[in-house]
Amino acid sequence: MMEPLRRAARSATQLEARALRADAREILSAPAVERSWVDRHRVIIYFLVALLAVDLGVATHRDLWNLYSPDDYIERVEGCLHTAPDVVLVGGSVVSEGIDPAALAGLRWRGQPLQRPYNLGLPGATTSEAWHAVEHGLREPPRLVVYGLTASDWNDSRQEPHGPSALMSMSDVATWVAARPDSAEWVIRHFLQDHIARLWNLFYCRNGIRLWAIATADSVWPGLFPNAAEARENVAHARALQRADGFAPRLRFQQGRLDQVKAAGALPSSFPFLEKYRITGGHLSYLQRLLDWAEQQHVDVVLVDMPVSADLDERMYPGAFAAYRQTLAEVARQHHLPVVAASRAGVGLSAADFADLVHLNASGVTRMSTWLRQTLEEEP
Amino acid sequence: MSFATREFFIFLPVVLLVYHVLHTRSQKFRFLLVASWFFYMWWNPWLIGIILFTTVVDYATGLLIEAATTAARRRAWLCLSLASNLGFLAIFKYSNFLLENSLALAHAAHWPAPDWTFTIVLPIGISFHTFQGMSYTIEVYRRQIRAVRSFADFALFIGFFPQLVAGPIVRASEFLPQMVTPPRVRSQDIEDGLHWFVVGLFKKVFIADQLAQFVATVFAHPELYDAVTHRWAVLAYAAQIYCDFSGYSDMAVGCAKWFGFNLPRNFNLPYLATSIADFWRRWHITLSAWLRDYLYIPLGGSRRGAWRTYFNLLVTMTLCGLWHGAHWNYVLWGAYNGALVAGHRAYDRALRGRLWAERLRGSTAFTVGATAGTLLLVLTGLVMMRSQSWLGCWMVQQSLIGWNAAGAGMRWVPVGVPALVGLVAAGHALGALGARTYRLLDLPPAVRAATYATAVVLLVVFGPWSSNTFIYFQF
Repeated sequence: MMEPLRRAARSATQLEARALRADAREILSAPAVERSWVDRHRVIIYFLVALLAVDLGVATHRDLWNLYSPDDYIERVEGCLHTAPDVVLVGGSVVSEGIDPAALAGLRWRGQPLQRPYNLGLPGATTSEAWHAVEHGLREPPRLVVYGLTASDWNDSRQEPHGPSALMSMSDVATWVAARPDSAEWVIRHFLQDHIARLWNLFYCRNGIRLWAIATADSVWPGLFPNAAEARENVAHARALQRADGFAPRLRFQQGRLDQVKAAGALPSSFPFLEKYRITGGHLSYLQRLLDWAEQQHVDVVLVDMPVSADLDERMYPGAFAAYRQTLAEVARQHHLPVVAASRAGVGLSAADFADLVHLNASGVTRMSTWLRQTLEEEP
Repeated sequence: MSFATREFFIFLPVVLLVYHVLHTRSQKFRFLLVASWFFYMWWNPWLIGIILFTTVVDYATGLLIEAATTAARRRAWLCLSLASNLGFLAIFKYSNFLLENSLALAHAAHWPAPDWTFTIVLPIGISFHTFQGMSYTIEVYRRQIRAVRSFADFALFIGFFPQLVAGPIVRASEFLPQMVTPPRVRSQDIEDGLHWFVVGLFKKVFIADQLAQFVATVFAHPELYDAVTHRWAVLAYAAQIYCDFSGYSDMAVGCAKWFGFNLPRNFNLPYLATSIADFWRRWHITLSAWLRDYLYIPLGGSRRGAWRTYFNLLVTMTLCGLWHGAHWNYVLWGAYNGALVAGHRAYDRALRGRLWAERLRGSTAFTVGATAGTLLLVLTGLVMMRSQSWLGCWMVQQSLIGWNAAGAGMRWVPVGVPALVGLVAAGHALGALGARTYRLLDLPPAVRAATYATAVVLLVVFGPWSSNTFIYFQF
């Protein structure tokens, strides 16, 4: 009984072996299929094509992402370029948050009314950024440039990275490198980083896309996404920046109250922009450029020593403000420039008119803007 | 230099480009060695001295072991290699721990003891490259491999940058044969490299880094939060540490493929383990295998009776805990795992061969229950590892097992936490299905490419703007 079974098993094994040998012959004799280069790299090619398609999609909706993550510097410079103002307010955040150009509309300067004021103030800007904003933001020279200054504008211990990335051209970088070799690496790095990032739209617009996605998700599931508030504020800010006069103060500055901050014991112990204060002339050299340009273009320039809180200039950094004001007086004397000292007492500002150590709140802005108009009309 | 940084994304393409432009084997490998050392020196140039020293010692002892004519001499050279590697580990990783505890003990016993404190910077990756060096000399000693003649080849085996600082711990017998001829990079390697690199980067930046802040906040002050938040924090930590470490390993595997090398996989869906022993076969696989082959088996393994086996398991796992960090919570975590593995061994031995038990263990219901039970045990261990105080550890443990159901603090579970934990769970669930069609590598090219592109888009748009250090760098 067992022998036939064994024989059957043996023959089955032989059959299988024969079949396997035949298969092997077939495989070996079959011509090798040569896959093309494209076929062999399909995943990589499709991956790159997909990324390219996404990037094109992002690029076509760039205005939407900019709405959710506006770039103050670019928006203001472009806005100014399109407005062709006759009076331009330049400076750092003390100007962008602190002077309402609407209050200056109709200002009479040297007997003529100025109708189109524009706030070209840039948050965090030093004098270097102020010059680059003027250089790139004005198609025609205005009648008057009002430069609102404070001590941090000339602190050579700090640089504003937004300047090289958003405002400078190649020739600006070259000029910087020649004039300020100590920070050549810094300016080239920030310039290149930003310009390389611009080549990849997805990366460049990532914050806008993220906030757009959060805002969209929040509209479907309200209250689940805390960052939706940031998206809403950014949209409001972007719309304000698109106004004709460039004035788009942040809500936190409009509503803030320094007196309340102090009462709550939440006053910061330092102000980073004034740390390690030193004036070596790096930023000042750009004021020289601005004044040379104004002289060539027959543009009047008024320097305004902007008000800051008493805590900042009297208690925390008296030395820095003393050095700054001494330099300001020297510059004004050398160039025969009028300087408007917007002291707190002169303008009528108290801690209740500041949002924090440096920025004015809504009531402070109203007081300061009205006072500035009156002062300018008296022709300092 | 860490993988998820801007510098690395400049370094990697440059190194790849030059590596593939070079023609000969020696040119390629020497360049890769220099690039690997540069990668390591990015943190602190002086630390290269440590790698150089251990590399020279292990290279020389490998040759001396092979040339030795007597067993005693072979053993002596091996001991020198082990002493130098373990000595460096002891000095840089454990000296603070030993000193602190000795002084604390002396103070407790009212013995006169000075108030010494000193801080030694832990060189990144020391736990990994010393283990690799030891594996080489042990394998030469056991005559499993021949000693390497070329110093540059051996130095590249120790210093190969993708796996230098956080593994996988590569055996000499796995890596050195790949260096015989210049590795040929096929299109399949490029695609697979892309797969592992993108998957790893996604795990690290999109999941681990985004969970990090929630986990750190809750574990810093567990008393402020309720039991539900504690449970989510534990789950989030489990997802974070898995994605952080396996993400690094995946990126290392992917990078290595672009240079033509195959590194071993270090993780295999660990949270699907059906027992604690199974978990250690799926978690940090190369470390588990190293400890098994070079510690557990030399201790006697399971050859000397049940109690000796349990003892060996306990010692091995406790040292595994200590390898992770010089703190008592790591020691406790290791001992806890050792006790669990030993307990599982005893239970397994008691039930093996019993028909009813085999039938029960083969059922789906048992598998589900065993997976859930193992996960709970693993989570309990992770709480020991992550907690910053014993009180906090106890508080979170109570919440984990439901003793503290009401909780005293507030509930704070950001919407992203369940979503990211769910993503890790979904990844494991797809793995559990086991069907080939669910594996990304087996999907059609267009689907794979679209998935990688989506991962990149999510990383760019939603990833944190600066990545955290990899958790396993500190181990």
